[in-house]
Amino acid sequence: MDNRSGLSLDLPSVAAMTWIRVDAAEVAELGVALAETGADLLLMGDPAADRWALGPGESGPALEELLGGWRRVRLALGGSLSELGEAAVGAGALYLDTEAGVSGSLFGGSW
Amino acid sequence: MTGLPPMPGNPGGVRVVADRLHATARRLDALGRVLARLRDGATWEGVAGEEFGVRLRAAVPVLDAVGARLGGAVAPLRALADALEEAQAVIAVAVQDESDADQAYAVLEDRAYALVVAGSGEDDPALLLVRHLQQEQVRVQAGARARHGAAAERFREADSCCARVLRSLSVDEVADSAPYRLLAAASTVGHDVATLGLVSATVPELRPVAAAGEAAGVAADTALLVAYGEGDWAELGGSAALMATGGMGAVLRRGAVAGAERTAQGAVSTRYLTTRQRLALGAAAEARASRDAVRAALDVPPARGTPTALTGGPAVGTVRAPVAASGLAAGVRDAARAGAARGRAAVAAQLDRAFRDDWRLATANGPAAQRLYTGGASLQVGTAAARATRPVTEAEPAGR
Repeated sequence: MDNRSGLSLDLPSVAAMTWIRVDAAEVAELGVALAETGADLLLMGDPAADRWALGPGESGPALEELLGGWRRVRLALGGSLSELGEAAVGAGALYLDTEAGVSGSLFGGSW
Repeated sequence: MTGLPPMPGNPGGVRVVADRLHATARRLDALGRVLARLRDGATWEGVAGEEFGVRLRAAVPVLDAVGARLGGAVAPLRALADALEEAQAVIAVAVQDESDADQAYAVLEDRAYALVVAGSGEDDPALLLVRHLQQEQVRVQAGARARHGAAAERFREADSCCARVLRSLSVDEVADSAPYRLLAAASTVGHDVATLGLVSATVPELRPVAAAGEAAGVAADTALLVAYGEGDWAELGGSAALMATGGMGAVLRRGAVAGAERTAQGAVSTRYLTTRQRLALGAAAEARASRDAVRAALDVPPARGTPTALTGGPAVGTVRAPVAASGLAAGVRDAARAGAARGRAAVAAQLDRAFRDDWRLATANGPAAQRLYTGGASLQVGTAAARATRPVTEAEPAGR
């Protein structure tokens, strides 16, 4: 089976000039961490809900501002991490395909 | 006489917020360090690889800034929780003492009134004793008020200190600009007002208000989309690799059913989610599923780690040599065909049930989730069909 179609998916790859140890499971795990963090950022609730606990002073509004006053970056970062996560999981699967190809050649299998 | 006010707030709740911020800051810090290692240790190739690298480089400083913003609030919040707890304890006792003394004073006043009615003069020993006891209660009340005031003042100082730190943390490179805040607020308020539309069905006077609110919300959303690139469906176009693999279809379908649960009464929506939030949840669920698939593939023992086993096909030991059809008796062949047909029908029924089950969940989440699910299912079917269709424009290389 020709695996070049799999390699042409335009997923991230590491250049040959730099050596970096890549483990498919770790890359996939990183992808999940990125995607989950991205989702959590996008799902952050209403900061006003936490305000009441701080009592009657100035800290309540200040906390609300701290938690809610970076909406734009939060949404952008959440979306970006989600996409990075998807790409990393895809890259993990791609590395796995590549390892499988090496394994196939060692065992005399064909692609 | 009015009683002393209690101190509102919840120290335990403040500590929960601080713990959450601490955990989030640590998580972002750990993620930032991993991404920084990747950023510094690798060069990315290809269009998507370069894009990946660019986003990686952009994400690291933002993660650092957000981690500093949220993590910096942990210590002042914990100090505030301690101050609030101490103040509440002192104030609760002061409030009780003041209330008790107030009631005791009132009882003594009744006693003094009875003595006066009975003919006692102000120099009567019994009345003098009552007046003395009343003065004691007044002193108790004064002491309680003083402790209340001092505790409230100590809390005000702690609160002021905490607020100062929180405000300084809020002025950073990730803070929203003033125009953006106006638009975001208009979007929220507009859509909140638009929910009056449900009420206006029975209260016609509210109909124009709801319509104006929705218009304001939509206008603000449009401005956010145009000026700041905040759009739900705009996100879809960027994931070309996912579109190519059919992964986006799964993301859409998983996102469409997020926030809905199966109950004995049917599917119910348990949480309102925007389309963008659904997409993120779908992406995370799909990432977990892909990660599990990678893990499962890596769990294959080395001796069985053939290419087909690694990529989801059967291992060598499970592959049976094909048996020529001519070698089978007609009855056996028919039975095999019937069995295969039953198997296909069972699988189709199972898939159909799964589809209908998910569709019910998406339906419970509303029309937007339904559109998401339909889009995802169409994308998956389309991708599968594209894979199954052999391209006719490419000529077979000679010698294969």
